[in-house]
Amino acid sequence: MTRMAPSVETPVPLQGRIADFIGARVDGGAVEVSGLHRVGGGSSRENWPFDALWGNGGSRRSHALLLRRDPQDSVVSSDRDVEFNLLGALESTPVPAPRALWIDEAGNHFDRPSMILERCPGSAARSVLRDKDPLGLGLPGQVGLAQELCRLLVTVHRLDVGDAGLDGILQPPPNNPAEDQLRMWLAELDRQETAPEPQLRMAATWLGDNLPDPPERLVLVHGDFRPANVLVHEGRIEALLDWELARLGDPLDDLGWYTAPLYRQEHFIPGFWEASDFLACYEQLAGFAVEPAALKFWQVLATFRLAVIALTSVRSFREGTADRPTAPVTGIAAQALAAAIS
Amino acid sequence: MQPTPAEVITGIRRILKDVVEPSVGSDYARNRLAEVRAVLAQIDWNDSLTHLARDNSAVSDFAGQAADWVNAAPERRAAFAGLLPGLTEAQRPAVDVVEPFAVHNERSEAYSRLMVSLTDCLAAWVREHPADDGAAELLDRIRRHYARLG
Repeated sequence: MTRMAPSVETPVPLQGRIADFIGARVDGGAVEVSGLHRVGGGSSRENWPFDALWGNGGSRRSHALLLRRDPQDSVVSSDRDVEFNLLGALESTPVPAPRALWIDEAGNHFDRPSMILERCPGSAARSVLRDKDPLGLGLPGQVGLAQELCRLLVTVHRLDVGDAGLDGILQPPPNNPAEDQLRMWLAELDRQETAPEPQLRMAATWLGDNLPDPPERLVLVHGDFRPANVLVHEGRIEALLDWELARLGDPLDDLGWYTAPLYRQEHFIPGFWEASDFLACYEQLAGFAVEPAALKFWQVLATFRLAVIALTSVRSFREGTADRPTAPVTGIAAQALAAAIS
Repeated sequence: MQPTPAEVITGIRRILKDVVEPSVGSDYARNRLAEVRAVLAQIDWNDSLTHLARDNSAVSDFAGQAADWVNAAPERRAAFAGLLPGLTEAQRPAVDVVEPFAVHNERSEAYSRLMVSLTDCLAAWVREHPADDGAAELLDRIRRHYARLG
């Protein structure tokens, strides 16, 4: 196999290419790009925030922007144009999402498929609900944010897929979404497995034996809904980020991901906002009862999916095509199986 | 006494945190460094070989239990015929822990493949024979063993 060096690009050449790219798309003199740097630990996209100055005379002003580029060896594959079009469709809905400005779909300008977004104010922190309180919200603020997350998820799921034009962007699943998702992640396991992964194979057998019924209505599934993917500004949610895994599917898909035992410490606040509080809030706002056996299937699938993604990272790391170190996946894989047989 | 592998790694993690990290200027590189430290902390540097040998021994036991269960009824022998040679082979005496890591690792891979096939067949058997408590219990024991690993 051909090995590629991990992405260690310096900002300077990229800065010039961004200026040229934007300059060809806006009116108003030369584009000046400043402050470009790479941030975060995103496994599926590189994130490069920067400021860009353009316009003539009094209209010349600075714009806070973000370049999102496919890494050389992504752990998830998705179509950049689908995400770009989805973000465009979400602009006319109550779902707060970043505004996508331009796309380099083929990677002609930035070597790999990329898009430029408006950079929203705020911070995203994986541990925002934990004791360390990285955004300084205080316990009441954290509980309020946790409740707002639940309301946001209901807002996403209550979108009318047809009215929002989402069914022209995202392909409806041909079968039961649970079956389709399981098949997709099993195929990914087949691709990534370099040695037998008994826990994942046993969990997959359990999943195949416990498929839930299809949902009454297909909804917009975010696909990676969690505190790490919301931008918090002055204690409130400014935007829901990272839509590359979005799809039409079962609302329990997002619920299972959010409430999976693996994420309990990150997504809930012991004694103040438990998984049961989240589910009660969701059921009340969404107007339907969550079937426990179906939720369990989606929780197990969520952990299974995470383990397969981790397996992809391990493979990339071992082959030298990624610059993120990764430990063996035995722990996550065991949790997927444990969730199944619990 | 010689320092253990875990002690050496603990020292390296401390140097990365106290000496290297403050000198790293890029946010991105600091994130990668934090991940390096986290991964170093996740590995059981002292006892990996012991755990691998113990897990292989447990699978050897399961192979014996499965072979006994299969051989107890002709219908099972027919259904699991393809697995019997592997189950028999895996019932060897407990392996010597001083064998190299690579030997244990290779055995672990073979055993994992065997257990995946066995549990797939057992799950199918249980679906078709829901009253066979012995099969369900064996399947449950193997799954619980693997769910505890890691």
